Amino acid sequence: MENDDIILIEKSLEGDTSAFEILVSRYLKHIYNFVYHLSGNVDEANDISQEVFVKVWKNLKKFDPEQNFKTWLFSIARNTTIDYFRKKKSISFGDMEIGESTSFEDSLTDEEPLPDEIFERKELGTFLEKALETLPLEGRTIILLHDKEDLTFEEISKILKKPMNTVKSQYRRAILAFRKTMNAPK
Amino acid sequence: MKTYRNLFNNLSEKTPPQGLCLSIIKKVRSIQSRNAKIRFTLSSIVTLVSLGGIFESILKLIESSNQSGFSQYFSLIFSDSTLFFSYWKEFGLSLVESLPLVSLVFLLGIVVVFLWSGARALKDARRTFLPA
Repeated sequence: MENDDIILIEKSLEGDTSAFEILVSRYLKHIYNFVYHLSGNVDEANDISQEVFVKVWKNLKKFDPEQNFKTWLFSIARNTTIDYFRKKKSISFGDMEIGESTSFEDSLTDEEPLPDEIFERKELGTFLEKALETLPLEGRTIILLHDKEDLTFEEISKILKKPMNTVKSQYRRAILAFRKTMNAPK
Repeated sequence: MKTYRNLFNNLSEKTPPQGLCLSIIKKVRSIQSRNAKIRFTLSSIVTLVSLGGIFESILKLIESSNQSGFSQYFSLIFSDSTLFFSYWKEFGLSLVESLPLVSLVFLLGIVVVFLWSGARALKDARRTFLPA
């Protein structure tokens, strides 16, 4: 897949729009879902997704082939989403950050096993969506990138331009907040 | 062992609307076309200006050649070739010394600019008037 991406990028840089179209169709669903789960709104997800890929096309010359394209793409998606919200003034700095972690949170493992009854919950997809919406933007971003898009903490730290340990701490804090929502009485 | 990765795989998957990919490509093509139009306009202007510059440079080169004596030396090759072949070394030196170098370099530079901007204008004209 990665070599294909590089070939498509090279063709796009030569002006081949059909190569760029293949690149878009390959990643559109991932970006669209990522942006949708950050914004919670279909119309905003449409607008932001479009802006993301136009920015990708405009900045293709700056893409370093040594880098992972997916990481670079999600970096643009995340920054575009934040800029979009800032323009709409629908977020403040406080809404973004998940804050410092405690030693208890640091002791949580990344791959903690979950009881089966969580998975047997009715309308699990919708419940997860609503639970995610209660988290600050940064926490949501890390959970989506790590648990939905299967990116490593190292890749996420490059996207967020933060040290890896900070990303891990923020992930654990987000998971803790998410668990509180899951365990809250219905 | 089921983890948070397994859990979030149950997150509802939204399908992007039917026309979104097409809409993105349309936007990219419109930006490409707009940029090509701007480049075409600029390179056409540079081509026309450099064409005018070529004529001016040729006139300047002829004037400089006459002033330095290069044209007189050069015309001797054709009007009196025996003299040229008898004293070809001294003649060659005189030709080189009287060569209007600055005007020649300027002319060559303008010709390069003309050819480069002309080629760009053609390429951008194709993108503007015959889009893919």
